[in-house]
Amino acid sequence: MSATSANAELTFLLERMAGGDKAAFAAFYKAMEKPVYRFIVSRLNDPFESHDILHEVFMDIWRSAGKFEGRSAVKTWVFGIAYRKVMDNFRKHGRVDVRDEMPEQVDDSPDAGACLLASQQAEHVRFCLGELKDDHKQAISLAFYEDMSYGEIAEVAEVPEGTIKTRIFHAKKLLMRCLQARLGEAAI
Amino acid sequence: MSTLPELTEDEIAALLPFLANDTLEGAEREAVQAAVDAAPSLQQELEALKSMRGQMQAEEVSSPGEFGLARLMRDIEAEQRELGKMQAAPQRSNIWKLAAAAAVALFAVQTVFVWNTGGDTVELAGGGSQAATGVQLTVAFVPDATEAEIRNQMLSLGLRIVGGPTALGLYTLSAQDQTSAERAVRQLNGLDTLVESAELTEGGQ
Repeated sequence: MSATSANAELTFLLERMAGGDKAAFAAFYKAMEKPVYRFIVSRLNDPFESHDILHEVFMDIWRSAGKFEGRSAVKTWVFGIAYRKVMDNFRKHGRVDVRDEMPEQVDDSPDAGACLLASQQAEHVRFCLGELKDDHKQAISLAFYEDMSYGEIAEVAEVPEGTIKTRIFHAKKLLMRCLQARLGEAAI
Repeated sequence: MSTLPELTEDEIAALLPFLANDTLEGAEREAVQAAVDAAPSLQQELEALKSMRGQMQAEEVSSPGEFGLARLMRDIEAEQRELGKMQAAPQRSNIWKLAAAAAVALFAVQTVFVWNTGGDTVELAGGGSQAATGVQLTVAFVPDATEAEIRNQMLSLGLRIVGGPTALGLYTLSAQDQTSAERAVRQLNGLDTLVESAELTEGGQ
């Protein structure tokens, strides 16, 4: 199914949900539950807490289905809700993420060949993704799990497109460096 | 002949993941693609990003699925009932309000003491069923208990959720044996802030 027809179908379901159609809600849940859950759990790293956040996200979707105006894709709107719920959760728990800060000037470029080898192993990718701080992880997750454009990611996170490009730039560099290091460790 | 936008090395590096996920468009795409075509190191980097994306998308995720949907439906229906009550309230006399409150209280008491007599198989709220093993207990949690709290408690007591929540909000849990089930019932009934009631399920072994 193309992105356009998938969006049309989700919009149709939202319209029915706005009229109180629970069967439409169940269909909407089945279509969106896994990607939204994956996004949440990739950021919280706690499956049980992620279940609760997912629940809150879909309750919000049900309650505000009638408010969707179609100014963005349904997927972007849904991930925006999930993004804000996760941020609320971080604020509630006073979670401050200070990992992976990198200096302004980075003069060593990762070896792309080594990165390519390491990127073919899921455990290395999972480990390195887990090492990123939240802003970076969120941008990479939406780009690679959900195939979102930088414009869509900016909409979800409610930041300028340039901010997303900067986050992706740093995240990519850190991921590459981490993958290269992992391959080096495995070879020892 | 179209003129490609001039992009710096950093801009190309930032846009490379969007070439990998195929969301770059127009002149920007052409410019990044041209830079990749001209530099073997960028080609390798692009391949690494595509591979990373492939690994991430192939990753299995164990989401709440039908359990999550059943929980949502239960909460949506509860909200609708509340809303219905609030809308109807101005037209009713105080006697009716009292009667409604009594009915709700009675319903809550019944909820607590409902016994699951389903034998070895429990019907899941989402419509499926699964064979349940061990000794079963039926538990009503307080309405604002979160799934994380419930699951943490289940883990600490060595219990497994094998059914629910039903439309009444009841969970069917499974313990390894009779002794651990009885101990779990005692401990759960002591958790006033989380559990409304816990009972061994009749015939649930």
